[in-house]
Amino acid sequence: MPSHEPSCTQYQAILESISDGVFTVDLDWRITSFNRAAEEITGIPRHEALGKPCSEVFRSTMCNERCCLRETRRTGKPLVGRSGYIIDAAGNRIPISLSTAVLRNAQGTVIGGAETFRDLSEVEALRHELDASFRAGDLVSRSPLMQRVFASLEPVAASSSTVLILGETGTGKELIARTIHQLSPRANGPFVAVNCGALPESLLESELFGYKTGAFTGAERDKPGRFSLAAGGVLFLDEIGAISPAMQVRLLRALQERTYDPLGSVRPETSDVRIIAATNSDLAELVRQKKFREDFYYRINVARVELPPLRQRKEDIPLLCMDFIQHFNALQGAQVEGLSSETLSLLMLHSWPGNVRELRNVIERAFIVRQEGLIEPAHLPPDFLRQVGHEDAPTLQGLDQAVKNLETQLIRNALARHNGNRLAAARELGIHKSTLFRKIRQLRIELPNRDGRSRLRNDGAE
Amino acid sequence: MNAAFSTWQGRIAPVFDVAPDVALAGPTAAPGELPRASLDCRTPETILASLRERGISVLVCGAISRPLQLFLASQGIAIHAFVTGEVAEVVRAWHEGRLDEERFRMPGCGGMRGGRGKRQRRRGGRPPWRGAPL
Repeated sequence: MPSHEPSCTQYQAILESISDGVFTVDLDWRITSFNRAAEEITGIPRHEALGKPCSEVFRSTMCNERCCLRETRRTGKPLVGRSGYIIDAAGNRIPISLSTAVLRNAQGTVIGGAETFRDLSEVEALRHELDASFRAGDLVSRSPLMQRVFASLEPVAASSSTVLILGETGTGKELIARTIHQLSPRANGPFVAVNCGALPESLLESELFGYKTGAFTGAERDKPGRFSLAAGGVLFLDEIGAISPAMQVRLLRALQERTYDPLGSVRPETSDVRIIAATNSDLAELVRQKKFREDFYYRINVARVELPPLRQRKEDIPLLCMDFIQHFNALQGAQVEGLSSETLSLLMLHSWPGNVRELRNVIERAFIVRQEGLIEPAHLPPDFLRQVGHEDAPTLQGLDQAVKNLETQLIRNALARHNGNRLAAARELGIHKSTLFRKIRQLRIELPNRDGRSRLRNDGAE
Repeated sequence: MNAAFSTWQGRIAPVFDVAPDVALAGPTAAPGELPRASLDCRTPETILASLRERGISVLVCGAISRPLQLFLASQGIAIHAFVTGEVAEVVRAWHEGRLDEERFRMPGCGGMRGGRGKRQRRRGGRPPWRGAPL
C-alpha cells in the first residue's frame, strides 16, 4: 500500500513554493535550511546563509535577549505572529511578523528550531496610504492646528528660502525640518543637524565652518565643518536663539554671500546649503532686548513654521500613543495592544510641558514593565502619576480613584495658592463654593488653620 | 580616535538599532576586558550623546538602519557597518586596519559596506523608511 505521508522532497517543494520565509537552525543556532522566500525577503542568497549564525543572517530587532527561537526552545511552546523588523544589506527596515517552532527528530529529541516570517511591507504601505491624511513624513496628527502646519510644508519645501521653525521643546522641530528636507528638491542631499545651544561658541565655530591644518594647537589635519558636510542638502540649526552676536554675524555672511571662512583658511569657501533654523525662544522679544541681531532675525525669518504645543492638540494623544506603541512593539518585539481607557484619561488630563517627546518617554517607560496586553495606569511611570495627582501610584485602582486623586490635588493646590480662602479657590477652579465644600468633605481634604479671610481681616487691622 | 563596538554574546551584535551597550577601545591595543558603555533610551540623539560623551569617533557594528547610520555619519561618526565576528578578533582587525576582510562581512552584504549591498527584492520598491514620530 502506498504511503500518504509526503516525502522529504515533497516537503522541500512545498517550502520552496510558499511566499513566507522559512529557515531552520541546529542546536548551535546555525542555519541549516533557507527557503526561496527567505532569500527574497532578506536579500541574502541561500549559499551565503547556510551555516551562519541565524542572528547575523536574519538581523531582526528580536535578535538579542528577546530571541523568539530561544524562548521557544526554553519553553517548548511555539510563538505565533510576533512583530518586528529586519534590516537588509541596504539598511532598509523591513517590517515582518514571525512564528517559531521546535524541531525534533523521530525519537522526539530537540534537534533545532524553525522560524517562519512574513514580509509586511505591503501591508504597512497600505496602512500608510489609509492614514496618509494624518501624516506628514514622520509626523502624525489629526488636529486642525497641525493640519494647517502640514499644508504649509510642501510649499515651504519647494522654495529655497531659509526656514524658521518655532515651537516649545519636544514639539518636533527637528522632525519638521527633516520632513521639509525629504519633501524638498534637496532630498537626495545630506541633512545635517547642529544643536547650537549645546556647544560653546569657539567649538560651534569650528563645528560649523571647519578648520585647516595648523589653525590652532592640535589641528593636525583639515577638518570639514557642518556647512561642508551639508553641501547640496540642508543644515538644521537648532536652538538658534542661543548663539552669540558674533556668531550671528558669521552666519549672516554665510547666508547672504553664500561663503564662509574655515578657521585658519586664507580663502573663503562657497556654501551650497539650505538653512533651516529652529528655536523655542521668542526671537522677536530677543531682538527688542538687543540680544539678537535684527538683520539676522529677518534673514532667517523668511518662511516660518509654528508648532503648537501638545496641550493645544490633545486630540492627537490617542493617535500618537498608538504610533509609539506600534513603534516600540516593532523595536522590542513586544505585543502591547494599546491603552486602557483609564490610562488614556490620565494622559488626557496632563498638561504635557515636555510635549510629544514627554509623551513618547512615558510610553517607552511603560514598555519597561508592560510587554503585552493593555497599558494600565499602574504601568505609567510613578513620577508622571505624581504630576497628574497620584501620590499613591502603586495602589491606583481604576478611573474613579484616579479622578479623586486628581481632584484632591487640584483643590489642595488652589487652596494653597489662595492661602486657604475657599471662595477664591472655588472661583479659580470654576465650581460653586458649595460644590467645593462638598468635595472637601467627600475627599477628606485637610484645611489650613487659617481660611484666608481671617488673614485678610488681620491684614486690614494692622 | 576611540571606537565603540556593538557586541552581543562575545560577537558583534547583529543589529545595532537594538544593541543595549557598546564595548570601547582606544587607538592602540590594550590588554584586558574592554570597558562598556550603556546606550539607554535609544533615540538617535541620545545614542550620539552617549558616544560623544566618551570621545567616540568610530562605530563598528552589525546591521544598522539607514536613517540611524546617516544621522550618526552626518554628525561626524565614522561607521563600519554590517561587520560580523568575535569581538576580540574584530577589535584586533580594526587596530590593524583589516576590517575590510571578507570574513568580517555579514552575509548578503556583497563586499560593499554601509548600505550598498546586493538586493534581490521581488515586488516593486519598498515604502520609504518611517520611524515613530519624534
